[in-house]
Amino acid sequence: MTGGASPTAGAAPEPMVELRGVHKSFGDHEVLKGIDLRIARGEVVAIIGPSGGGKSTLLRCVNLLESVTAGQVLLEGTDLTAKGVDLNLIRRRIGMVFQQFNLFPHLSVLQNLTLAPRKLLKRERAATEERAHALLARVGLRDKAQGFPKQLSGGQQQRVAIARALMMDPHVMLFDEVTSALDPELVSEVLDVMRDLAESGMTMLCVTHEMGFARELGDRLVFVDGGIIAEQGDPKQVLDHPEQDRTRQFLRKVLR
Amino acid sequence: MLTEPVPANSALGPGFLADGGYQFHWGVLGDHLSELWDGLLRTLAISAIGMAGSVVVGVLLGGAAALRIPVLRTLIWLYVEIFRNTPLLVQIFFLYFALPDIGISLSGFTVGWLSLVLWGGAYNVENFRAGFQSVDPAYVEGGRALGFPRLATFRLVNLPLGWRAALPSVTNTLISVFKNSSFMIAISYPELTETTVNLVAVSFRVFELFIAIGAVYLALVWLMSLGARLIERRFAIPGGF
Repeated sequence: MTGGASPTAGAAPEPMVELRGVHKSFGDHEVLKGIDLRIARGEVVAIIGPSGGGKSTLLRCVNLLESVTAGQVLLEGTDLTAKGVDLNLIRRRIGMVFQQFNLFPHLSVLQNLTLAPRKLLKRERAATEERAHALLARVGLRDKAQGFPKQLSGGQQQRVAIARALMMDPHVMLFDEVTSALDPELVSEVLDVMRDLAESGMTMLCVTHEMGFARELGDRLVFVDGGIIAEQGDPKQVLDHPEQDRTRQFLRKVLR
Repeated sequence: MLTEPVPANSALGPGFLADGGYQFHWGVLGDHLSELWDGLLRTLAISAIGMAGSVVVGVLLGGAAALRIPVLRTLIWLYVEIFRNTPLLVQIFFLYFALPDIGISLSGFTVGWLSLVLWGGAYNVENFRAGFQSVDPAYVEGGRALGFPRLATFRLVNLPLGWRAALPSVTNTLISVFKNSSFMIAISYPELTETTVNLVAVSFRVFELFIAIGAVYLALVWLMSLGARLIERRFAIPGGF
């Protein structure tokens, strides 16, 4: 297991995110059947697997957008499943980007970025707007600040969504199939932003179908199938020499 | 068209000519202009309070229903069921004639606007609830993931998007509230219709008076529809939602 951040000798550094024996059921249907996962600070983890296998649910359990049926979710050592934890405070530290962008359609791009910092962190308007413009420039959308989400292409919306999440200075970013709803020619512009983010040392969990992205930027690849982590390891190793049959079968289908 | 001369004791009212034609005397409107004007003002007063109140009731209770707040949600359901499924006339009679028996005497004016608030409110609860719930859950999730609490997310996401979605059906309800102000004739509250009926009784000018107030109601409803369209345009979201 390689970490993006250099682990110091001696005591193992506290993981950024840790899942301990996480189970999740929807009614009678058990989607996660015991997930154990430790993600180091600065690590980029790509989560792959067949649809319905539980990888999106796994990701949504990290910020408890889905409550867990059993097990623990820890963020920087804090057990999020403990009683009395204010999830709304915790979620400020976890940025999330969705397949369907989820931008507020009635707010301009600039307002989408500044809403949470201003309302939740009580930051000054001028300072947040300055930051928003800087982030928009970083994702290549300097001139779109006054536009509205539905006036933008899918790729542009997704880059705005990433910038919106970054406005809260998250400690970890969750990406839930962020390129799956995009036209093929728009995928690379979003991946470029994610590459930039990964290289800046951000801790990232990415549920993805982009094997190229996983291979190039992932510190680790996690293959989720049937509600468990069926295989994990160095992306190149897992992609080129999978150990499990089910991993091999899945990769044969997607890499064809 | 009758061809025979109409006898003096004909069932046809005054204004009818011997050949059955009708002689319009629009002057009757001018003669009673101040009464009609006062009636219109009362209609506008109870309608305005009724419409505004029903929107407030609709947003607050519709919001609570959409948020599925326990207990409150059941009480709201009960309120909506009662006021949507009983005749407005019965509600008016209840407020005006039944409540005094338990010591609550309300004036005609109060019953006028209150009954419209309660009746229109019940419809608007459903209009707004449906509007709030029609908001794509993805937007709500976007808010929750940023760390907004449930209520704040509702205020920042469901409210601004939901009222836009609800606007056409709310407009319909408000138009009905306005037209139903004429039901106050049942308790002799002298709004426009009651005033007109009284003027007909003394002037016998049925056609002139009812055509005139019909035109007034029609013009005002058109104005309201126009207003709704302007609001829709003013608050349209660039690119849609």
